[in-house]
Amino acid sequence: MALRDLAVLGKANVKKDAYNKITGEAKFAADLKFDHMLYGGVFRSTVPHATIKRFDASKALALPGVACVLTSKDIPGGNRIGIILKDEPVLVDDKIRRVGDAIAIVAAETQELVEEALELMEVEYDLLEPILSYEDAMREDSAKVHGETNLHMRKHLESGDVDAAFAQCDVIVEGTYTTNMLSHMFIEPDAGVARIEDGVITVYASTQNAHFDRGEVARTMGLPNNKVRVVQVTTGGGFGGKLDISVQCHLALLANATGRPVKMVRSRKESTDVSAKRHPMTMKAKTGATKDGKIQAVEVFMTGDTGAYASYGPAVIVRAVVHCMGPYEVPNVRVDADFVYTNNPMCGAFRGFGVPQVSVCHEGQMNALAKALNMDPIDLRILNAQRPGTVLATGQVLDEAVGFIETLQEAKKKAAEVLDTCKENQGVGVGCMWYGVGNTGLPNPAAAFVEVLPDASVNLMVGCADIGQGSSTVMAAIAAEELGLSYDDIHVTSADTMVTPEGGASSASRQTFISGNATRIACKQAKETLAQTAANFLNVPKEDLIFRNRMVYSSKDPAIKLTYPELMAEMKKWGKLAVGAGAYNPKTTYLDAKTMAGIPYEIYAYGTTIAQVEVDTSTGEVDVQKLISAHDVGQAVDREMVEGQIEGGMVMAQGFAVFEKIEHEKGKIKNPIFSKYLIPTAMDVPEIYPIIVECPGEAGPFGAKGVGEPALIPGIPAITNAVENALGQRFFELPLMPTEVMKKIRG
Amino acid sequence: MDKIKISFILNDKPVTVETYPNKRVVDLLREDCECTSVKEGCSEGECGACTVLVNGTPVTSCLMLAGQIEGDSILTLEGLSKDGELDKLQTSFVEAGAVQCGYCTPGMVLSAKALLMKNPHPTHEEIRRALSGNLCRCTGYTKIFKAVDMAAGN
Amino acid sequence: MKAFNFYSPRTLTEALDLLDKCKSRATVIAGGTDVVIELTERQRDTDCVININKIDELRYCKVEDGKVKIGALTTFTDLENNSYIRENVKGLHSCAAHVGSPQIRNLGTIGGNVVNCSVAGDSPTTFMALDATVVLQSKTGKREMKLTDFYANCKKTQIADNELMTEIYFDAPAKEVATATMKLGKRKALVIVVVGLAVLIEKDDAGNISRAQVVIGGVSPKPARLPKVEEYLVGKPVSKCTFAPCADLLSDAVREMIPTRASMPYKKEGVKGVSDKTFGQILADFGLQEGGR
Ligand SMILES: Cc1cc2nc3c(=O)[nH]c(=O)nc-3n(C[C@H](O)[C@H](O)[C@H](O)COP(=O)(O)OP(=O)(O)OC[C@H]3O[C@@H](n4cnc5c(N)ncnc54)[C@H](O)[C@@H]3O)c2cc1C
Ligand code: FES
Ligand code: FES
Repeated sequence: MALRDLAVLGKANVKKDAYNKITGEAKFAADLKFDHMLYGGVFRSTVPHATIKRFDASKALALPGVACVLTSKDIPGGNRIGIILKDEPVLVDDKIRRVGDAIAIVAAETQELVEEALELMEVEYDLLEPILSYEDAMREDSAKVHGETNLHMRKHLESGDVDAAFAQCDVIVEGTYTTNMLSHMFIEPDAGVARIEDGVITVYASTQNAHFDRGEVARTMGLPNNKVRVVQVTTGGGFGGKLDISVQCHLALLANATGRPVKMVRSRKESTDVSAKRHPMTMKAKTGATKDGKIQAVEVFMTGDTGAYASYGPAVIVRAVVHCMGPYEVPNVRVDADFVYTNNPMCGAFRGFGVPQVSVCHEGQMNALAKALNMDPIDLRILNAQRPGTVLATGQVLDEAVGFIETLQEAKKKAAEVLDTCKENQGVGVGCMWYGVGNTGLPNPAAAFVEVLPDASVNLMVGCADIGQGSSTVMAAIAAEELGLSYDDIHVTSADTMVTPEGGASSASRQTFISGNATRIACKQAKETLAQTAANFLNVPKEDLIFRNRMVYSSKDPAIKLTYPELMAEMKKWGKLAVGAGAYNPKTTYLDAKTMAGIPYEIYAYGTTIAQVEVDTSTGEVDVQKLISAHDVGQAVDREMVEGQIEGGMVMAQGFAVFEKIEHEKGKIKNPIFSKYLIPTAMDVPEIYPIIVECPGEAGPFGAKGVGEPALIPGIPAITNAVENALGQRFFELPLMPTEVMKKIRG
Repeated sequence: MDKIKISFILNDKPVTVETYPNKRVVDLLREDCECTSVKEGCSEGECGACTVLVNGTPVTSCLMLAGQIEGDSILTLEGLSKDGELDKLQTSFVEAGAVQCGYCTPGMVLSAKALLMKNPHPTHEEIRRALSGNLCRCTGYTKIFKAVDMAAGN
Repeated sequence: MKAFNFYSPRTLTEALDLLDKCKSRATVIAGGTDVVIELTERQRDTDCVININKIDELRYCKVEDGKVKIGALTTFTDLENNSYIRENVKGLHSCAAHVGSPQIRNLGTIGGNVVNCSVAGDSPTTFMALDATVVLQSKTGKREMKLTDFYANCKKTQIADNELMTEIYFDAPAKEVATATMKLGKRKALVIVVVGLAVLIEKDDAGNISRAQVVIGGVSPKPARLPKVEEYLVGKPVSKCTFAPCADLLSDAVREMIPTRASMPYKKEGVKGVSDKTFGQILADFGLQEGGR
């Protein structure tokens, strides 16, 4: 039963971008072509930590067809970029901090010439001690990657009296969990084109945040923000890996230096080598409960390696700390986190910002606790589940929008229907998660512009980048619902900094909630004028009017009505325009520096996955057979798209749990390509049963939360726990590769 | 390096292209024939984004030299819809919600097309196998399987 | 890609003439699935690329004079779809069906796989178990050698600069012969072999093993026959009991072959599962018992 009576939301609409993509007409960055276009490339360091003794590009420059070679000296503006901290050079100046740091950039007539030119460049390094692990980094006498200390960030969260609580517990379980560095492996490698037009540098890029890119390009070029235009072109997946600057600044520099359009397309290897990775983390956890299963205290100490640059690291750490006790009521919590800089590959945002990692920890603990107490894993979770009124470790009190218990119940119901475990080496596991929507304890606004046109079609302009997740479709549905028009009436322009307002990042599962609210507010503003005009015409109070299905009518008497075209004619007659601008910033507070108390997020999404696996004990292979995943999304804007997110997330979870791991040695990634970094293929994927749970609450647009990241998270611990239950062995490190599984089986 | 002349059928139309031989088929199609639906995701035959049909058979065009398709018949996504009318697979991909970022889509649709041309009513296992050379990081494949099922009228 | 001239001969004679002219500066391309990657990554210096993929006379799979003869340009898909192979040489069918992906099977040729001789090559393991012979041809003549000799005593293969591999053949398996292969990898498609096993078993009228050819792949740079396992098998009855100890024998073989390699501990365990499954298929092929996958 639907919770809300809605005309547009909650059904399945044809995605706004579907036809362009299915015919092949959609232009991705690498597909763009301009007259006189040059090609660009980057000369990168092959060592993790060094200063440059000598760099010589004379041979490359002598090559006919090479237009220019630029180094840090050629940067007109600032030479530091970064999402949160500006600590990454556009082109190396003081020193090299990782393999793949950009030393020089080149533009040439053909891609072939670019490659030849790169081969002709020469560099000599003065090597510095490379810092390659947490332990290395924390040694007092070790070399420093940035400034005076390698400690990138230390966080502490505390509530209640943890020590006293543990002393009272009947059962305590402990474990140290490790997750590895992972790569997004979006199928489209980063790419872009820059050109200069009427004094404006335009960068067309594959990106998740055009407005952030604009600021970085402007600073690099020493230009005001309004002299830079960033247009997000059709983007072939991101998952957090296209939040950092990739080609944007380099392209702007080359276009500026040559006066010609320049295109850069990264190879798969280059893309994997230098885009941000998922933070590898180690989490030592202690959980205490009473003998009837009520959790009393959780203590976690986690460490992580953010690599050479901060990227989104600070957000990962804070979010991991806030979420690491799981979606449970825990009265006493103490969390400490240390993240360090090293000369390893840069780690940053990757679907879930640290929550997937900590879910492995809190759900591993729950599996162990259920066993220690001999309790059903679902019952244990329901007993401890967050619910309306729960007080979080940050002190925040949850409102009514908490659908966690329903996800557990729905998943359990489905499991009874579809799971079939009769073989000895099969196992079933449960995994749960919670996810605060939007950035953690920080302002993160988004805006929207809307105009209802004379024929009742609508132009909606939103900053948020649709990277395939379907945000434009979501915004159109929300606008249609609010305006009382149909989905097809809405045209969405997104993520073009000269046209659309700030949207913030397409990350943190925030766009449905934040840009969605902004869209709704903009529509309400436009509706204000529409309603006034309709009220005058119909001679009813404007508060009584209902906008629905392209009609405006009185709630008191539906016969008093006019159609949208009639309304627009009326608007024209009186010289009225239906325009709106909306902005929304989630209601959060900054977190206390000492205890992290505060309101980190306005709303939370919840999810439960139940996994069925079979382990081949003769080879160690884990076959993930079935995944049931129930998600509290508040209100589904588009059911099919929510399912699509869940299915995609579940398969990524499978990759996380059993296949994927970035191998690196001396700061260099050993498996940056698809033949060595394995992601699930069509042959590997399990049967997936997505379940959509809706819950009360009106904080989001019509109650909608977000699902992009939640869709991934619970699948990971569910699979891990299923393997544990199949083999009766505990696993503390992911992925569960056959080699590792075999070690447990055969000793 | 001498230029070579390559004559082949592209989306039902005969074409002749004069170009350098050190190009792959993916380059030839994208750069010389404006078929930018052919995507490149890995350049090593793993992702399948560059899949095209050569004489009805799916191949990864990043692993073929341009000169190798002399005399062959090539189908790219651009050639799948006839006179603006979408192929059944295209409509079913849209209806099933099988398109997210869309980067794998052209290759995926062509692999599916090759399957249905040979085997109009494939089983679920046959569908999976036929698509096993096309990686998708967004959809979890499930809606793609559904789309192929729909197009096959299964 | 670096610059080169491109030739696409239509006949074998033409190709051999060209090859004779360019010799070591030539690169032969068949399906291209190995060679184009090397060219794209600028790892190969070459003046001329000779595309042999249009030489239709090298694309066949036939039974003639008691031999199964496979032309070098035969693709994995060709083999997979060949009904004779599917019915009578199950090991080769399964090998072809498990290569890469549909696209790779459509492009990749047997000649390329055998000549490229990579650790990850699947068909050499199977062909060695079939005790196959390769046919090499140059402008000046034709020679044949057993696959074992083709790979012996050299870095890669015995092929000369001016030679093409034109065919590989092996004895058509009689009724009393069963074949099976299996590859252990890390996922279910696009799998690079971790351990591969190919087996040919011939039984006599009494149901005892009269010939055993057991080859392991993915462990050493080239596939290796395992005489100890073969000796153990010969003379014993075809049965699950006979085959069971092969798991440990193979495990020992792996340990001896790569005593210090980091992958050894897993491979020596994993090969046991591979052994059970492969011999399970042999039993199934003899109609004795259900096989593994
Ligand atoms: C994504 C991917 C997955 C793969 N998966 C597998 C797998 O699972 N198992 C496996 O075994 N292989 C696999 N391969 C490797 C490759 O596909 C095979 O080795 C294939 O058989 C090579 O054949 P080809 O015709 O494409 O060779 P080419 O690339 O054309 O040639 C390979 C080499 O052999 C030479 N050559 C080719 N034919 C002849 C001939 N007739 N005479 C003399 N020299 C010749 C060439 O000069 C070249 O040096 C994979 C490759 C890719 C890209
Ligand atoms: S680009 Fe050809 S398979 Fe990936
Ligand atoms: S839809 Fe994005 S890779 Fe398939």
